[in-house]
This record gives sequence, structure tokens and C-alpha cells, in this order.
Amino acid sequence: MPNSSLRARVALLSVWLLVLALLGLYVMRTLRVSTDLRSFMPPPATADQRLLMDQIGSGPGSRLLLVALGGAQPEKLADLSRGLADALKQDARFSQVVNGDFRPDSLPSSLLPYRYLLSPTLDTHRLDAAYLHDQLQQRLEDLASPAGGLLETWLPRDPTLEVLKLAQRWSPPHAPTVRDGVWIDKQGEALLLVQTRAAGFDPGAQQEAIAALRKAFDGLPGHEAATLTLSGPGYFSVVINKQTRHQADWIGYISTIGFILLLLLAYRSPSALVLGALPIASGALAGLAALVTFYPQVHGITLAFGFTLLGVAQEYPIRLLSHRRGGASNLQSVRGLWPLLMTAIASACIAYLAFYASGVPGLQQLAVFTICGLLGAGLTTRYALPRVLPQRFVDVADTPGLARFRRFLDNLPRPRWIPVLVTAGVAVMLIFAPGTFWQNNLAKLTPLPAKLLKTDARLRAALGAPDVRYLLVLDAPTADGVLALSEQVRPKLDALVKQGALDGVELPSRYLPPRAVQRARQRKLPDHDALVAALKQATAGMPFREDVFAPFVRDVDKARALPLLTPAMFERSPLGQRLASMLVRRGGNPQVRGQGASGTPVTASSTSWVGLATLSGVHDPAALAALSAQTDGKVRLLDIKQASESLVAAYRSRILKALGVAILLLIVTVSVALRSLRRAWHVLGPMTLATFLVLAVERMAGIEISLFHLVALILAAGLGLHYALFFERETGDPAEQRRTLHATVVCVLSALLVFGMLAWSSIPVLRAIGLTVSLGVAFHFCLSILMAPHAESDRAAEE
Amino acid sequence: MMLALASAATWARAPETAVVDKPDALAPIAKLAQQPPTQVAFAEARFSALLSRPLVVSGQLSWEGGDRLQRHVDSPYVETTRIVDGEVSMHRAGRGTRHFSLDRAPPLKALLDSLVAVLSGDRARLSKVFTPRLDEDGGGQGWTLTLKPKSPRLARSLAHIRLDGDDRGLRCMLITEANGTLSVDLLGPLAARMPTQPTRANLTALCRHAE
Repeated sequence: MPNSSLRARVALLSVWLLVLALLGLYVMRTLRVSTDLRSFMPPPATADQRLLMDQIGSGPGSRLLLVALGGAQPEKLADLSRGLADALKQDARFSQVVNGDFRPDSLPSSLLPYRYLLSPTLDTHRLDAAYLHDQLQQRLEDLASPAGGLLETWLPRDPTLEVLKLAQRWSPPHAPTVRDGVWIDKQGEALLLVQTRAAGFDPGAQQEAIAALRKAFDGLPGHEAATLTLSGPGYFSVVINKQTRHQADWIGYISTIGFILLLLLAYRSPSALVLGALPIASGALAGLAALVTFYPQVHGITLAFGFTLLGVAQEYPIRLLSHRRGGASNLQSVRGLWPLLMTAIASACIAYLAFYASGVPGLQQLAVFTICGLLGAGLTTRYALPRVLPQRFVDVADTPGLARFRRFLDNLPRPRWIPVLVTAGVAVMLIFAPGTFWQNNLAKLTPLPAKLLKTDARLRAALGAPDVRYLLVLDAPTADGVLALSEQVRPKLDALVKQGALDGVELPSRYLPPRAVQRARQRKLPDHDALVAALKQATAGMPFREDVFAPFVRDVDKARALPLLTPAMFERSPLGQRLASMLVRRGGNPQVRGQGASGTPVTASSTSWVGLATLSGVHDPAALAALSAQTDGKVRLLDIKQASESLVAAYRSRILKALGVAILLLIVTVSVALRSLRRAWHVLGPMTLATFLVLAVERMAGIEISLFHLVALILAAGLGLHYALFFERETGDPAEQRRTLHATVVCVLSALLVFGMLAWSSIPVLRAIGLTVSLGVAFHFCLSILMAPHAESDRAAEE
Repeated sequence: MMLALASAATWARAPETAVVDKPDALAPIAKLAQQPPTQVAFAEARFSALLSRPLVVSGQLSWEGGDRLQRHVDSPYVETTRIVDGEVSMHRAGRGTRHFSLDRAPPLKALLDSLVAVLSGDRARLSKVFTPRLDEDGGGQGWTLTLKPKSPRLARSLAHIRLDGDDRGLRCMLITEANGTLSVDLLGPLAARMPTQPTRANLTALCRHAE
């Protein structure tokens, strides 16, 4: 009999492990984790939010990486800068690389005749004899000057230096000085601006781009002598991810060891410890399998939240292990325990349905994961775990000191006014708490080291790189409309720059003028005979050889007959990508939104275009915001920080609504399960009060409540529900009461161990979760004991 | 192109015989060293493939010490170019000031290197950027220092720089760019003797043969 039972246990365990392995394999093969914040956020409600979701994550400013090469002689660094730029230009992950290297061929040769349509020269001059004479006289002086050598190659084709004018127009407005042909800042570092194709807030893709950049640098000859410094939003998102993961891992190792020791101490059985981990592993895999089956992509934050919430499931095996009775089989023990455990699991699952109904993709995924996870862990605890646990165990009811602790708790006074006192205290603390209630700036939860911010400020100033927070948005029905609008507001913006409202602006029309402007310039070009005659007249008495300007005449002839330049044609040039990132088509384009992003209703019939102008050194946002009124809202300032914070606030209000519904569902479920409103109050009362008490204490301590605090509160409430349910249970058996206490103490200690460690973290997001859950567990435990209804009846039974 | 220096007036010592092909073959160059600030008149003719006759300008060249040079043109128009620590600023009367980095004009940088090296007697600097060669005239009167760029990058724009001198100092500076453009600078007293119709031949003769 023992042999056959052992064989059955081993067989069942093997099947269980096999199922887990298969699930694991399935998950590993199908799971696609998205790190793009957009697939986690709720559907945007306002135009700004929609723009933010659609494009800003991939907007020009957020995709810029600032690169500095230092630690060697400037000549060496200049070589490295050129080498790195050449390598990155070959890499599809980067859409633009600039290092100050002056290339007169910033227009490909085929587009060169377009220079007369792109440069503003013809707005104020005509290519007539007078203008050409003046220009050529200057060129003679240029030729005789120290800069003469620079000019000779270009002079026959471009005597009015349009290419030079365009190069100046297209170079960043506040670029650093050029030494050895590349940008070198005051500290002697070579600087580069690199634009990634990936969105700035997609740490996964940014990580790839940055790894490629580092690899390119490491592949350069002589790179060992130099150092590579990176900055920019994309780099920051990678740093934060790495830093958070590193600390979470490190804390995780320590608390896991503590957790193992605690369980060994509590149950004195290594096999119980190992087998006790199986239900939660089953739950996690079941949740993941459900996610990958129903969703093509899972967001990283959803997973993080999900695993946090799944922490409740660790209670299930602990309850089973603690509630095994001497003389009863595992199965008999679990059967006695199951009604209550099922009530806890079912009510949690029903409550999480509210999250599913929220309509926010991130929250729906969270609900699917958590519900499947809890069910998986609960059902395996009920049906599989008792059958594989060893039949011999120590009844924890006899744990030394436990009886005394139980008596101590029972003897605590339980005044009826405790709920009133706690409620009043919570109200007072919430009213007098300092600071604002909500923290909407998710970035504050993962702050950057001051050193990185200083480096960023220094590089940004040196490179004149655009502001990450502000963008100027131009709305028009067509791409050309955006360019025309851009050209139209340029004088206003130039005036604002003069007034000091901002340091600089980069408008799309800086790269490509609207069609009307191009056409007007084209019409001003002289015909072949007129130009030849004008040249002859202009060069009279000058030492230029005859026919030296034939290439110039050829280009003007070509320019006169060219079809006007469109953004699509311009894209072939190195600067085309820059323009492409500033001109965005909206609506009717399924490519715009990433897969798995929320389905914003987009009217497919009406496409429109948006121009994104980057701003640098914004000193007076109000003056820029006033542009909106002057342009009927067609040009407006987008405050990315504000828009993203309003998104977070919208997200939170969805969570709060879901929570409200969840609480109602919970009340109904618990009342039905316990068949008594009074008993339901004894379970839900302590849980609710403790939750508000955590909130009040954190607020009193000056903590602003973020999404992460909310999720941690939900986890703590889930744990609190268990404590209250089990303390409320009437058994009339003192030994069973001691087992309940034992289970609860093990649960509380393990939660305190894991989350208490997180509370010491230096990273606010980890601290937020750790502190909230630790406080929650402590308050839930105390209140569910102090508000337990039947201490007297227990004592009566014991006597 | 431009610049050349050394006041012939302050170059008064008799040169020792230049010994070519010996380790210190450039020793005579050290004798050209001067204390800044120093100034010299120049007249420059530039021969370019784009032009049917050379462009001629004249004025003053000044070395202010370090890597600071000034080229002031006073005829046929007024123009001042200053090179200060790698930054070139060019001011022309009525046309405003243009700034550009010295690195955008490699031949100009080479010229600065060669001139400052010669004027400060820094032969190491000369040998760092160029392969120098010193030839003496048969009569022992004059010498020619030919500087060929060492880096292939510089050689793409600059063919060579030639400095002509005699026992009284620098007479001429000839810069041949890679595309064949030649600038000849007559220095010091010679600057006043720019022919009305300069040719490569008559200028070379003027530089080589001291009267």
C-alpha cells in the first residue's frame, strides 16, 4: 500500500511537472513582450493624448540620442566620430546621423538642381546681370582669400553658393564648433546626434539600437583609447530598466533565501517547501498561457503588475500546509479548508472581472492573467498538491509558543469603537496630509541619477538639441498644407526667438518649402538665353575663363523644368528622413499604430497631416501657447509632460472605477458565500479599513499616490481578505484556531519578508510597492484580529 | 592662397651652410625663428584653372604668437582674415564677417602649421605634418624648403608648400594645391616688386634669384 501510494504520488508529480514544462514551452514560444508604453495605456481621449500615443513616443525629439566621444586627442576623436557616423549611416536602426562633418553633397546629385527651389535666394533676387555681377565679384574676392580653395570645385556649378546656403540652413541652429571636420565641444569631446528609428519610450527597441551603436563603436580601430558617452530619452529608458531590474533581482535573491528559511522553519520539511512552490508556478504559467493565447503582445508593465498581484496565490499552499491535521489525510484536510479557500479565490476572481470590463487593454490583460493565475494556483492546491505531499508531517497546531500567542491575541481588548476610531483617524490624516494626492508623473517613480541628467543638460546645450518636453504641432489636411502653415508661422516664431521666448525652432519648411513657394521661385528663374546673356554682361572685365559657368547654366535650365519637389521625392536625400519624422499622416493609415495598441476610433475616410516642429530652449511656454489663438488652433504647443500625465490620470480613473465595481462584486460574493451580511461585514470591514489606513498613513508621510501604489494596495487587500476570512471562521476547535493563526503568521511573515525588503529599495517604484504591501499586510493582520467577532465564544469553547 | 611671414629685416644673420641629408638638415630653419609679434608686407598672385589671369592682392601679414595669424589685404579692396586657435574669421569691408573652422580648409591649416613652425623655430612640428626637404642654391646664397604633406587626407587637397629664402630671410611662399591652383606670396621688400602681369615663370624667377 505505501509503495503503491508512493508510485501514484510520483506518477502524479511527473504528470504535473510535464504539464508545467509543456505550458512553459508554449509560453516561451509564443510570448511577445512589448515594452512600448502605448500598448499599456488607455485609449486617448483628447487630441493631444491621441497625438502623444500615435506619434510622440516616436516623435523626433524623443528618438534622438546624444553621443559624446572623449578621453583622447581631438584628432583621434574626430577620426572615431567619422568612423562611427559612417557605420551608423549603414544601419537601418538609425534614421539620421550628424557629427558636424560638412558635406556639400547633403543633396544627392540628382536633386542638386532643386537648390534654386529650396534656397530663399530667389525670393529677394533674380539671376540677372546685376545680381550675378555682384556675386561673381565676391567670388573673385573669395578666390583670392584664404577660403578660396574651399570654393574652386563648386564655383562653376554654383557661383551664387546656393549649396552653401542650404547647408547652413539645414545645420542645427546652435551647433558646436567644428574642429578636424567634426563637432568638438569645449571639453574636447567629439559630439554626434543620432536619431533612432525606434520610439524613445520603447526600451526594448532602444536597447537594440544602443547595443548596435556600442558595437559599431567597438568595431572602430583605436576605440580603446576613447570613451563613449550616451544620453537622451531612449538611453534613459534603457538605463532605468536595467537599474530597476538589477535592484529587483538583487532584492529578490535575498528575500527568496529568507522565504525558504521561513518555510523550512515553519514546516520542517524540504519536500513540503519544494512541492508548495508548484501551485504558484502552475498559476503563473496558466496565466501566461491564457495571455499569449488571447493577445498577440503582452506589455511588460502588465506582467510586472500581474506577478505582483499573483503573490496572493502563495497563500493557498501555505494554508494547506498549515491546516493539515494530525490523524487526517492531506485530502481530508484540504476538503475541510476548501469552502473558505474557494470563497477567497472566487471573490478575488469575480472582483478582477471588473478590471476586464474596464476596456483598457493593459487592465484587461492584467485581469486575464490574474484570474487564470489564481484559478490555476487554487485548483492545483485543491486537487493536485494534497496528492503529492508526503503523508507524514508535523501538525503545526503543536508548534511551541503558538498556543501562548493565540491566548495573547485572544486576550487583547476588542472595543467596538475600533472601526470608528480608525475611520476618524483615516479621515483626519487624509484631510491634513501634505502635498498633492496623486502622482501622475510616472517618470518620478524611476528617477535618473543626477550625473546622467547633468551630462544630458551639458550635451543638449552644446548640441542645441531639441527640448524633449515641448513640440509645436501643425495641423493641415495635406502634407503641403503643413509645409505652407510652417512657412506662414515662421516669421512669428523668429520674432519669439528674438524676444527670448525660446532659443530655436526647427520647422518642417526649413527642409522643404511648400509648393507655392517652390513654384514662385521656379518662375523667377531666367530662360537659357537670358541667363547666358546676363552672365556675359556680368563677367565683362573679370578674369573668369569663358564657359567656366556652363554647369551653372545647365542646372538652372534643369531647375526651370523640374516637377516641384515633394516630401516623397525628398526622402531619398540624407535629410529626407529628418523631414519624414516631422511630417506625419494621420488616419486611414494602419501603419501608424503599433499592433496591440488600443483601438482608437479613427475616421478612415478623412486623412490629415500633422507637422511636428522641434523647439529648443523653451523659456516662455505661454508665449508659444498663444500661437494657437493666432492660428485658429492650427498651430499649437504640445506639452508632452502634461499630455502624458493626463493620460496617467485617465488610466488611474479607469482603475478606480474598476475598483469601485470590484468592491461591489466582492460584497455580493462574500455575503452570498457566508450567507450573512453581518459576517460579511466582519470580513470586509477590517479589509476596507486597513486599505484606507495604508493610504492615509502613506499620504500623511508625504507620499503621493501613483498607479503602482494602487496596484500594491489591491494586492494587500487580497491578502487582507484571506486573513479576515480565516479569522472570522467559526470552528469551535482550538487546535484548528491555532493552525489558522500559524498559517496567517507564515503568510504575513513571508509577505513582510518579500515586500519589506522592497520597501528599502532606493528606486521609488520598488519602494512604492514594497512599503504599501508591507504596511497593508501589517494593518490587515492587526485589524482582522482586533475586529474578529468570536473571541469570546472561542474562549468559552476552550474552557 | 595666403600667408607667409618672417620679417626679412630682422633676418640679418648670415646662414650657416645647410647640410642636407644629415639628421639636423633643417638646422638653418631654426635661424628664422623670431619673437612675436612680427609683421611683414606681402603681395599674392593666385593662378587658378578657372581664371585666365591671376588674382593679385597685397597687404600685411602678422604673427601674434601661438597659432594666431592675421592677413590684412589693403589692395585692391580691404579684407582682414584672422586665425585664432583654429577659428577663421574673415571680414571684408561692406560684406560683414564670415566665420569658419580652420579644419574646413586643410591647405590653410597646413600653411599655418608650416609658417608658425618656421617662425617659432619648431622643427618638430614641421616634421610632424610634412616631409621637409631643404635645397640650397649653387651659389650658397638662397635656399628652398619644400614641404610635402604626410597625411593622405591633407594630400588630397594640398600638393606641397615651398618656402624660398636667402641669407636675409624668407622671400617667397608658394602653395600648390592638389587641383593645380598655385598661390605665390612675395614677402618683405619683394612684395613691392609684384609684376604688373605676373606669370608662374616671372614670379618663380623673382623668388629664386636674389639680386
